[in-house]
Amino acid sequence: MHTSGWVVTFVDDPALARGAQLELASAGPFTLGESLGCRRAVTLEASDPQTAHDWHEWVQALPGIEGVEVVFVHWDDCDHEVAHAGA
Amino acid sequence: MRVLESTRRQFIRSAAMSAAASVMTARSAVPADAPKPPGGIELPVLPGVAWDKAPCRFCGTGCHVQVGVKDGRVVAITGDRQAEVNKGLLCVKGYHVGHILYGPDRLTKPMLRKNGKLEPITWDEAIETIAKRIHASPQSFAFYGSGQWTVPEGYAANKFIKGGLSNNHIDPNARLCMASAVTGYISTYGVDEPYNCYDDLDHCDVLILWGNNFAEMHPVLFSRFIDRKLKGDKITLIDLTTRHTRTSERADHVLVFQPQSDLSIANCIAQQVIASNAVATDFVDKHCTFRKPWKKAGDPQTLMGEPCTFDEYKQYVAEYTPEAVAKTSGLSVEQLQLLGKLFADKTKRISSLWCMGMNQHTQGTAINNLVHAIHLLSGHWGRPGDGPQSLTGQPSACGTVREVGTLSHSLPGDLRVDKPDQAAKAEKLWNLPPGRINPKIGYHTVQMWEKFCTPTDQGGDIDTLWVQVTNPGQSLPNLPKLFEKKPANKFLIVSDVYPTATTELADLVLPSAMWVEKNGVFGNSERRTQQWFKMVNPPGEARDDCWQTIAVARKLFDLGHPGMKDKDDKFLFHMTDSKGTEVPVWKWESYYGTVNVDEKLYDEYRPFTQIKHKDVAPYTELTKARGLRWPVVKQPDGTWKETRYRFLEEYDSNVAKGKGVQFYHSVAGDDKAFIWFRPYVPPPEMPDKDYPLWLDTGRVLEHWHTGTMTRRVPTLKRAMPAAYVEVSRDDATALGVKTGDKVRLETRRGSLEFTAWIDGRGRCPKGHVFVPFFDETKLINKLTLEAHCPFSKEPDYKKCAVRLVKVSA
Repeated sequence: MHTSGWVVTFVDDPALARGAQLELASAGPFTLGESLGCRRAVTLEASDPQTAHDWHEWVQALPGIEGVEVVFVHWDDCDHEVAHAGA
Repeated sequence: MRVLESTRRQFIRSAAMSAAASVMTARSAVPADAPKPPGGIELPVLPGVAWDKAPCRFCGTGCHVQVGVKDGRVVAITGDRQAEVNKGLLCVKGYHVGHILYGPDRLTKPMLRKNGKLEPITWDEAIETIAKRIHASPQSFAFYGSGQWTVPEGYAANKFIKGGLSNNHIDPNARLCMASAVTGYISTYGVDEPYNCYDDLDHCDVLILWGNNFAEMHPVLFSRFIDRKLKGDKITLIDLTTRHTRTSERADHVLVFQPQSDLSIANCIAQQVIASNAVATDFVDKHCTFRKPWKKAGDPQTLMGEPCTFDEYKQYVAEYTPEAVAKTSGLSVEQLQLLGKLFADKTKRISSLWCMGMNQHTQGTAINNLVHAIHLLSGHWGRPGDGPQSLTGQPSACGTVREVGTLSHSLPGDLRVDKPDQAAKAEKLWNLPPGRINPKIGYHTVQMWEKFCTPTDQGGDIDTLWVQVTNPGQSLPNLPKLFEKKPANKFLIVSDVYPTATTELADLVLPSAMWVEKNGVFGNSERRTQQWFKMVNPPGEARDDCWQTIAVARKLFDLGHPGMKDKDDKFLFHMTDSKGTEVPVWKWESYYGTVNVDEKLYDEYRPFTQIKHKDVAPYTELTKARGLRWPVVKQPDGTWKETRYRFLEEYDSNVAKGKGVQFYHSVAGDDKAFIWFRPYVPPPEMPDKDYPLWLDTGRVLEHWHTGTMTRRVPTLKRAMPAAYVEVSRDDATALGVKTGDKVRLETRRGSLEFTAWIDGRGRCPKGHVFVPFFDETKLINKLTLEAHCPFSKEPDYKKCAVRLVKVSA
């Protein structure tokens, strides 16, 4: 399991921001935490780093999202994926 | 079991939420320079996980991370909320930094090439092989390192070669990325490194990026600035660039200029400041003098130039009017006037930032001089948020290269080998006999590799070359000439953590420890010295680079090399424990024993930094802090205070009382900075009928430097799997090329195939292509030019002539 903690920043437009929050709330792997101004603390639990990255891309592309910052990552119990640089 | 697992997951989720909430709170509510909360900030509580601080392994920003270790492995990373640089934030590379330790192909054994194949050998054999080669011909040995060397590693390498072998053939890859900033600072202020710091991002009204894709190269600092916009600050971002990038997407003004015309643009700003009577006369009269690059126009330019009057200076810049510069720069008169008016406006605080765009330039010193000049001339200098600052691309380009002096002309503390009084100071601190340091400047990077790749009987007088913590087989320019021509009888030693383009040609490969597998000290772009402790063991037989250097030095000592002894016949790296007993740190089993070798080397190095008022903090202070910006000065109450701004009385205790501003290491010894004129000089290679396009190379967000670490992180590799060529829509249409087509790039050095990308990550203007250099399967530096700045010797990776040929759809 790959767990990460995010700070999600929403755009200035209240309707778009609300839409993005609803999308996040209804997507399975997210837990929404407290919010402050245009930001909200969010956690993501994904099966592996790649799935986490795919969710990150998905959130970044949502209308109503200004930006996503990852501030915490824990991965001890997910299989450690490996890559060769030249492959 | 299920209950236990569920509780454990709740723990981790709660730790992640708590980290996110606290960063969010800090960013939303706390002013940038607010004091830290008493008692520090709590770290996430996770079962069995121990946390410790370390600077990130990648760029020169110097973000701090907290590293979570469990059962001898790194298992978690969180941004360090106590770190002023990043305030808990990390970029996509930063939060994957733990994974770089665990690529499947880590080098774990020393290997010697026998009959064309690398075969495992013992460490004793490896150390003896190196020592015997050096002993046989010490003057034909060269050491090539980087801004990824830790401070103690670079210091040991420097002392070994300059103080031990009396040979100055040592240079770092930082020559290829920030040497022009060094010569720019030295020839302007008389001493290297920025006077200011990242706090400028929190205080400027206008941020001008000079050829700097800040959003991808220094993303955490970019967020720090953009965050102010989100909070409603009225701030302006100006992107002076040769291509649209992710930075341009957030800019208020995107000014796309023709390559090399930055020289004219800077002079044009100076012309307008003068024409609008906006020269900061009081500041300039008190604190600056004017400088021209030659005795008379047309003579070759020199690094330190000649004095000139304001009237002469005014005459030189007079031809750079907006109307004249608009004809060659690609900017409109209005865009040039926008810049001129900004600098003429004293109410605005203007911060200029740059990195490779200005430094990797055949006129790199000149453009650095000119950006300092327009800030000094207009008085946009010296207030927080109001000044010029260079950034670095490597984590310790400042700490290990500029401060430790691992360039071929320098010694620790900004001293020079060719200044007898300065070399004597180093000999005294190193307890060496007078005259041990060779006064002849060693080979700079391009020369070093040229000499190594030239047969000995044709003047190639470097026969043995040892590379640590860098990958020149991918990062040198013009690889066919400077790397691939290595003669078979020359000996290349490479210490690294993974197989690379450089180990491909190596005769001896040494497996190294990396990042938190060893103790370390880095120095970031804002004079901040950062320390960390070893947290996990390296794999297999991998060992610290610093140990490797000391072990070779000791073997040379045993072989009788006289340079490995000091004046009292003690070993160059003689270290004793608290009882005064010598500790054999050249033996691996003693290296992490009763002494902290890093601390011993750092303590020995620290007095050098006091010679030119760059006093780094004591090691014990660094262990407690998230880095401290030098000069770090002891206060009457025994505490240590860092310096945010140098040369300003309000911040810097080295400034004489009542002076206000004092450039206390000025070139002329008059406490004044130089305002330089440097003319536009055309680049050595420009597009023509045979090679009609400009080729620009650089980096992307996901990969760091040559990708040897980030390409081992699957997520980053998948996000940006391969290098590509970015082509403008106009050129693509003219050549019949679509996104995804195979195209061949051809320069006078070679040719290489890439996939074309039109309007993708960035957008090139017509006549311009861009290729990132992270991909070891597509070595773009086979095509680049090794022409370099005459003063900094830094090559220009940003401009050469290329043609593009469609291969297949």
